[in-house]
Amino acid sequence: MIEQKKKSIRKTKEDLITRRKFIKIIGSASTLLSISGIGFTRNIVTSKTKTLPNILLIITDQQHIDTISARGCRNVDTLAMDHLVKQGTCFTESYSANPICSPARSSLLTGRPSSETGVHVNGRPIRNDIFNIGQWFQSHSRYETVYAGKWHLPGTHQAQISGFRVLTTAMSFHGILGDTATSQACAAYIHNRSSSNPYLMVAAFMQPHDICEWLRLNQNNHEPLRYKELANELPQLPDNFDFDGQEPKYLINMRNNDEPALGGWGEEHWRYYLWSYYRQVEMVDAQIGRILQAVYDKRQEQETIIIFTSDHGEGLGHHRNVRKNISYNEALKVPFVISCPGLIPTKQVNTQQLITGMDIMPTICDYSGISCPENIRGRSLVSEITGGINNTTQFIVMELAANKGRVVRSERYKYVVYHEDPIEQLFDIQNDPGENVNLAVSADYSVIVDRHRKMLKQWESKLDTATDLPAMDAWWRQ
Amino acid sequence: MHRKRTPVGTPLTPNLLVDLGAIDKLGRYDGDFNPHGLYVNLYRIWTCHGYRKSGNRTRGYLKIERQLSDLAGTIAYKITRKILNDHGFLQCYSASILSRNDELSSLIKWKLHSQFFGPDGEIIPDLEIKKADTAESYQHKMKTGIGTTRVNGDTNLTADWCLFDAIQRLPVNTGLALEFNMLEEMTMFRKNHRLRYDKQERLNISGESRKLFRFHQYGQGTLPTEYWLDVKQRLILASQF
Repeated sequence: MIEQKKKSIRKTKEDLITRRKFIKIIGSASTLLSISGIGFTRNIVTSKTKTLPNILLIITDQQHIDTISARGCRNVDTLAMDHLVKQGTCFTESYSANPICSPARSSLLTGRPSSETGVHVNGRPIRNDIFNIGQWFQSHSRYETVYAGKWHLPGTHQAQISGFRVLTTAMSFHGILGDTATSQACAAYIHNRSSSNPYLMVAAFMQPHDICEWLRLNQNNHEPLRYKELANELPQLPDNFDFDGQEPKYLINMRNNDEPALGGWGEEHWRYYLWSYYRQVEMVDAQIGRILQAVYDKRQEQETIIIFTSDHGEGLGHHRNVRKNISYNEALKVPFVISCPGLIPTKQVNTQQLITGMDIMPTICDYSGISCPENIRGRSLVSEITGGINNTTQFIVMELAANKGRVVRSERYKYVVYHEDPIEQLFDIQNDPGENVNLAVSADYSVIVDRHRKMLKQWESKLDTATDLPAMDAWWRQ
Repeated sequence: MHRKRTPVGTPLTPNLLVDLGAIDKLGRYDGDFNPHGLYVNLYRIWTCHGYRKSGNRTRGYLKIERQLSDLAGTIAYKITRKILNDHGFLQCYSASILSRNDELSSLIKWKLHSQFFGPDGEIIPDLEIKKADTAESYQHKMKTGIGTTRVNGDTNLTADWCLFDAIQRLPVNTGLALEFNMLEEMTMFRKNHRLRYDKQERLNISGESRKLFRFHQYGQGTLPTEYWLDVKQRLILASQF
């Protein structure tokens, strides 16, 4: 498989198109537009300079979708993220391909689901014969590909990453201290570079993942509040803190082994956890702001496509959950904003299109005029972004860590099934966005459940799964 | 995720830090410490992974030098901070800061120098940055650049590194309650911060019992910080959790 990949790289290097040739072709063939983003090139250029855009992909870690003040969250003040929202387009139905670090990142950086990348749990490398976006860009373009911060494929931070120049590592498990290296290195790189080649930069932050350390440090319920004057500032518990409780055993076990249960948390301590989490979102927001300031200072806002997202979400008290690796939307949904004034509509919010992290790589390829690798499962979002078109994607599928379960999100419903657990879940997202009531336990919804089972089978039938994935045959028997 | 390790479970107080092995002794000083004079404070930076015996380590240091200033009514600081990230990447900050000699050491102007060194110990030249700014210019930029017109530019603006000095001159007084905006690392704006004095506590270390004074600070963009000062009001510990 490694030999196949090497041959593919050699072949594409021979076909490498220089930046000058690319611009010439655009000028002489501007009517050549592709129909589909996958497998074809598009002549996407920035409006200002007709040159290839820089690409800046910002990834936070464990960020709940509802943590941006410009999107209505009153519990945070996120200046930098607000700037991106106002300058760009955001998608509200944006999902992690697998709500835990390494699997999610493998999908973000390859456009493939985790059962194909082979990263079904934390700390595994991407399958040998699948390109990451850096490798693909290095072999298909003159983009300079740089990476700073968290990798986790397999090492949390690595001094060497194939396909990228590593600007700096950061600090495992300590975004509060390590994220500054990520942002400062990225800002300095932008500030100092003089090359005429565009760059693809990945700035991968740890925060607000430090909530995991916070949970351990604050496991014991130490009411009353340590800082009493904070009491009036604590956020309220989410509406779905209490719910019907009809869920697979896996979810019950997760909750019973997490800090709130172990520490016997009362309401005030829950709320203090929420307050602390929002401060950690603000921490990473300022780090993002440092990079955005560098782009702004270089007058490159209209030449740089900025994509901001997170690998997965955070429990944040919804369904009494903390952390991730669960199938509820608090862990599955993530922010997604794309910005490049002049090229991408500003202040636009897409509330219909279902997207996952797998769609990021094909979208970036599309904007860069580069074809996608074969078998990429995500799709380019350029039509939805620039044309305001809502695609006819009927459903998306998300996987869960260790191949324990899968989620199907259709236009109206969300279906969840765990391996070897009799309780399935079905939520009417249109009428019950908080996932309070599991409709799968009612015979009235058996037809809808069955329809979603079929969608899942249809999706699974096309998978090119990694050969060392555990428990895969169990899915085929269902 | 659920390995059998014991979580810390409670706030990082000085006594707990002794218990965790983060502190094994406190320095002794020749003569009295004068927070209004010239001094050098050196702090070890230690991180806690949330478990009692796993993943906790020293990551770098922060050095704060309070120096003579040519201008009346001002304080000069020289700051050095070095953090060792994973796989040997070293990030270094040095800063020269001029502040007013007021209760928060509010900012006048500063220079910041940031460098990175690779695992081989060599400087990474294209990641070096030198910046200079003034408080007046910065507050203007906050209103016109990215980020906001929501900032109240008239509120006191200090810096996290300056607070490490300023707090040593604050009264140990339960009535103390200060409000301010703050620059973190001289580049990241944090607003609506509050600083209060809490109480006295005793630290048991190396067979002695030492009296300490506790302050706390919180606001936008940071977790609460606790400052612990000794009887000479020298800042010996700051923790955030």
